[in-house]
Amino acid sequence: MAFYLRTESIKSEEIMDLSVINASDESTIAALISPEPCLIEGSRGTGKSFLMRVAEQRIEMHSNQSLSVFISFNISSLVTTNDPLQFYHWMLAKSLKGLINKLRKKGLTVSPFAASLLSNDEFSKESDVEKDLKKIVRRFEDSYRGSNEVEISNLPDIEDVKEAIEDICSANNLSRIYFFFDEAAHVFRPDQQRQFFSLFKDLRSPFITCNAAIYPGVTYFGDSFEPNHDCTYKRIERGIFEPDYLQYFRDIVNKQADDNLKKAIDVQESVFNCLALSSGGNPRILLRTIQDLEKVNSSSANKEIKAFYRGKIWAEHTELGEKYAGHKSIVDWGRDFLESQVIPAIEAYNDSRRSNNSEEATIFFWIHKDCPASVKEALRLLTYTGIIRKVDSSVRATRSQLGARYEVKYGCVLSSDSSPTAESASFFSKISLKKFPEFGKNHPAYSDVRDIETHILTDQQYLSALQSMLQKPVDVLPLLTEWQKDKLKSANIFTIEQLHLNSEEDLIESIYGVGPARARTIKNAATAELLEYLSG
Amino acid sequence: MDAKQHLESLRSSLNEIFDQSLINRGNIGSSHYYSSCIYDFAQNIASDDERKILETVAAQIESAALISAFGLYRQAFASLRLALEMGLGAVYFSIHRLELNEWQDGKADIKWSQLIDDERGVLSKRFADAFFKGLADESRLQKEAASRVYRKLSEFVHGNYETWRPEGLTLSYQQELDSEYELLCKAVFDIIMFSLCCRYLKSMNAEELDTMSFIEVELGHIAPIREALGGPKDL
Repeated sequence: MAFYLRTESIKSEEIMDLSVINASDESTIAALISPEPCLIEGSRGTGKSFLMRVAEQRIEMHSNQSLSVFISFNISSLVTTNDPLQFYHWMLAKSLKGLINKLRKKGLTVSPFAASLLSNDEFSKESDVEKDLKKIVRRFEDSYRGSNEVEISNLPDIEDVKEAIEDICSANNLSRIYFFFDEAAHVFRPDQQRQFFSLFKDLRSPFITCNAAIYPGVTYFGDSFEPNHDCTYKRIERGIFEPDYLQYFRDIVNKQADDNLKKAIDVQESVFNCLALSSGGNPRILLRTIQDLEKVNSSSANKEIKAFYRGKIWAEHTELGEKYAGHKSIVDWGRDFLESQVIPAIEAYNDSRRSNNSEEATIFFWIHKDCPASVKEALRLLTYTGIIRKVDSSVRATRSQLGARYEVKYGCVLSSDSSPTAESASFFSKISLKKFPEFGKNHPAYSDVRDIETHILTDQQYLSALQSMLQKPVDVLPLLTEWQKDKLKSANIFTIEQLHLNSEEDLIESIYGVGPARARTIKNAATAELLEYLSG
Repeated sequence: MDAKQHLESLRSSLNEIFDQSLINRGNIGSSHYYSSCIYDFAQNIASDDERKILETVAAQIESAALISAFGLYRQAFASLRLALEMGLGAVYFSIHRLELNEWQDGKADIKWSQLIDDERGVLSKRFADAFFKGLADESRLQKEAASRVYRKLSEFVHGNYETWRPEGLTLSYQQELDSEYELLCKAVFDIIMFSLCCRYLKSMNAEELDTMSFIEVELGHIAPIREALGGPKDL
């Protein structure tokens, strides 16, 4: 059966029915509902968006005096700009448009069209609130869209926006407006992320609360934003050693499972437990591996665990390297390090304990605090997909050396066993946080990474990645037909960049057989490629 | 009581029902919101013909909002049915210009059976494959929903026996029908907005899409639509 693997695919009216909330989730939701701004950090698929949706609905269910506005920064119409303020204005405009939509949806404003339709004299009385907001949005949009130079000093500033929002609150007896920014930093490049957190901080007001979901490892706050001081910071970590772990994940699956699947899970409880632990606290991964099972039994589960945790799980991590060309070498090194050094070291550790009949096992490893910065960077990027999780950062190991302790996702370690489902229960019971293989400050495995300069996702790298994408031939565009590609080449348009620089009018003029409809289709093919690149 | 007094008494009843509707309705703004969304979408369509039809659709939803609040439920359902027919009709005419001209000349009607025809209809696999690849499965679900909603609305228009119960003939606030109106209004909006997205979304540029933040809010759960707006892909 098919599960919802993304919160975005769930209709808002179904969210509460599918929710399973434990004490830790309650604490996160309480932070999101509180007047203090809150950031929730979690790897992909850990349920950040879901918790924000639950908080959004609770806010509106419990009070008529608060409004929640959900903003997804999915679409970036700004590919690149020389003016950092333009991006800031773009975010503000998008947030305000989300607010206008919510006000309409809640019946707090009525559009000029609706107001004028059945009454002759209402058009002039367009709601002042909506008119004010629209005016601000329009001026921002002109500033980043139009080819005309717009004097920045004449644009509304953040105080004007806050004032407009305060007016809305007063006019509608609202005490607070909550903005929920989903995928907040993910789709942005580093300078844009810094602008985002600057906006996040600037929007602070007695009438506004900002909340955002972010990923570990790839988020850049900038100098003006201090996550520990400027907001409540919540990490979503569903530790596999928590006492309610298995029941919690069972409840999550049961919410979506049909009766046959529920029965099968009841019968094959140990198989389910093995899959739940393997996911390492990630609901999306658990649902996905159960969805992909041929049958709920040991043999199918073993096949799936090996296929997923040895292969498929790496796809997202590898994509990160493709997204940032300048970053690729360090992303790839991290994967190699884990696959060819860390996991084999953990296996060797566990094998030796097993052969000694010792009741000890591990899924942890330790890295010296003075290891090369590029190693730390590679490990940081591995936390983005949740393949590893940093447990703590100042742990003493052999000879009292200090270092950081990491947990490898249970499934990644277990998948090397011949029969993961048969081994899991016994293996799990032996795991000790105090046992781990160590990687010192000069481990030979680091030699490959020493030459790789410490990579931070700089604007320069972003631009170089963008440049390499723009230089690709039009042949790579999946939305174009062969005929269209041939026509483009005959008009000396060979690369995505050349296509991007030609307007629809240019295409109509220079290519025989291409009218407005085809020109739009062709241009959209290039735009889709750019958007896909930006969305990741 | 003369006719004038009789009408005044009816007006007084209507006003009482209106007040009760405002108190009891979950969200009094939703119909206006749906109507505004359709209107805003129409402003991004190049053809005057379709745009005007959709403006009429938006007006029908506004009318339905008003008359349902006065307790004139049967008339409100009739308006919703007209909105559904014309909303899908606008999309249908966008690719059948001959029939559009005949309809404008008063020589042809909008036929529901044609709108949802498996081969030529706007919720057919063929239509989705032509204008928005990837929406064929969802189109099938929307077609089923459209048939269900249309049948329900028609019961009030054609006068199925059970809709003519004695209590349905007097002017009074009826919670059940009021709730039914809210559900059906949303369903009509969802179907129209889906068919508009299926027909036009792929041909719109980023700037046009940027003016319609409601699409992501209302239809973002449909993966191909979300992805077309630059949202995260389904797994």
